[in-house]
Amino acid sequence: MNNFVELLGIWVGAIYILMVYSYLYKDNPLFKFAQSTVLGGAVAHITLMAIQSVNRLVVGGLMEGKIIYVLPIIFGVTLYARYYTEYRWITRYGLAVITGSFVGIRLGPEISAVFIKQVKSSMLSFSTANIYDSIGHLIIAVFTAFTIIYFIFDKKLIPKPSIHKKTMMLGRLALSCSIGYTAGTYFITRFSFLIDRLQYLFFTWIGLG
Amino acid sequence: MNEKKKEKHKTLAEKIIAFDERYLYFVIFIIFSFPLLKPLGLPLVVTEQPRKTFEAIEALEPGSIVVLGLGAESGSWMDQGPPTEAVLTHLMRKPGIRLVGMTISPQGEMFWETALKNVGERGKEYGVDYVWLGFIPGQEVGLASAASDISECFVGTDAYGTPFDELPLMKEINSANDVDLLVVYTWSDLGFFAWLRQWADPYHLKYIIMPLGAQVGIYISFLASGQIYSWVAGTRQAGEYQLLLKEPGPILATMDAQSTGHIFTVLLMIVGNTIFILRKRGKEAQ
Repeated sequence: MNNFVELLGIWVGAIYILMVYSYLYKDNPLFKFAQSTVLGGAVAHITLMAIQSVNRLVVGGLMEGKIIYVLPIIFGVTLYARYYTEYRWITRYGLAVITGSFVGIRLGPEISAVFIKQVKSSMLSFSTANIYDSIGHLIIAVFTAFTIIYFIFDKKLIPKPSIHKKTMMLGRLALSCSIGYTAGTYFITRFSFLIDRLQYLFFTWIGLG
Repeated sequence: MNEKKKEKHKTLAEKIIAFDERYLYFVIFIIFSFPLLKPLGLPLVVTEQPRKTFEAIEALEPGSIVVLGLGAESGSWMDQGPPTEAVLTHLMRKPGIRLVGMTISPQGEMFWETALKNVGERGKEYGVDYVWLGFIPGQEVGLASAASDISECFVGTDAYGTPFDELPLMKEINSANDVDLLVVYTWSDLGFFAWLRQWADPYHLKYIIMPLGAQVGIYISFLASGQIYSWVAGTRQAGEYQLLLKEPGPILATMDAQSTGHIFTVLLMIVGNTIFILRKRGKEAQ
């Protein structure tokens, strides 16, 4: 039985891969069907995980005598009030708790972890033991400065047109390098996805090698 | 003469642009399939970051506790699954290392089972050497709760409902203060920053990540600042990690396809940029 289920899973996976890749030829109902079922499956999985989490953490906590766990249930239920026009205002309380806690938890460490340390790391020493590190640090500082200038300083702040044109060009160059690098890694990642699926089709489904 | 030359180039560029891309997709299929079916044996060089990750795990002393944040998603597992399994293999086979796993992704539990099945326990005992705590709802808020008090966050049970009292490992870890290394599978900015803000930065943990290959450009500034210690990014670095582990796996078999694919991409970029320049010159000539 286990072998049959496993084999069925492999065939379903392979058929879905072929249905999705059929889009490369042209848009067709098979692709739309595969897209819809995968999306539906993902939503179903998330819903089940949410129910399981509530059962394990909230109900589990209540069973241990922690009455305060009633509050998450109350705030969670208020979110469903949005479906009733007359009581929609109740939703705001649940949303306020969720948003407020998220912002509060996030904002404090954000300043240190994301803002200050990143600014600090863009101003590294130009004199290091390794010449390539020194050049790298110089490029980081210059590109950071010109990218900021590109976004912030308009013609009113840099009145001389020739200087403005050159600083804008350098800012665009910095952005282009960054975006080009990201685009390159993006393609490499997509190729990894393709290779993995081809490996599945050739070796797991067809059984070559 | 110059005018005739420009006319010829202009026609060629337009011909290439009008080329049906479905033929290109077929060529890509051949380029990637051939090395998979008939490996070419192209050399693979181990780069700095996988080596640094390997050395960091090798340097862990017996009894060290590693937290594995497995924020896996089906849309990214193809690229991040291999490095995760490679690092998990290292963690599971190294004696004395204890592992606590959790996830902020709803699909993480599913991929923990997949990874563990592929890697194997390798002599480690559940509850003593490794524990899977399961899914934490609430994203960053849940992580913050877990960082300060794991027992409170998970209501004193693991993902399978086993109370912490019956798991010897959980008697030795109750917050991020007890952790020696943080290894995180992160495919989204939300996951990466959440672990950074709530675990790595406030508790000064060594933060190793397994990002998508495409995210390396985004996170490289955090590597430069020292907030990320190292990474194993994408399938390629997973292959390099397998070389370091001396455990060749199916990932190494795909390295030739990766290499030929990258070479083909570079060729396409050269062709595309050449066409761009030729068209620009054609318009200027007009």
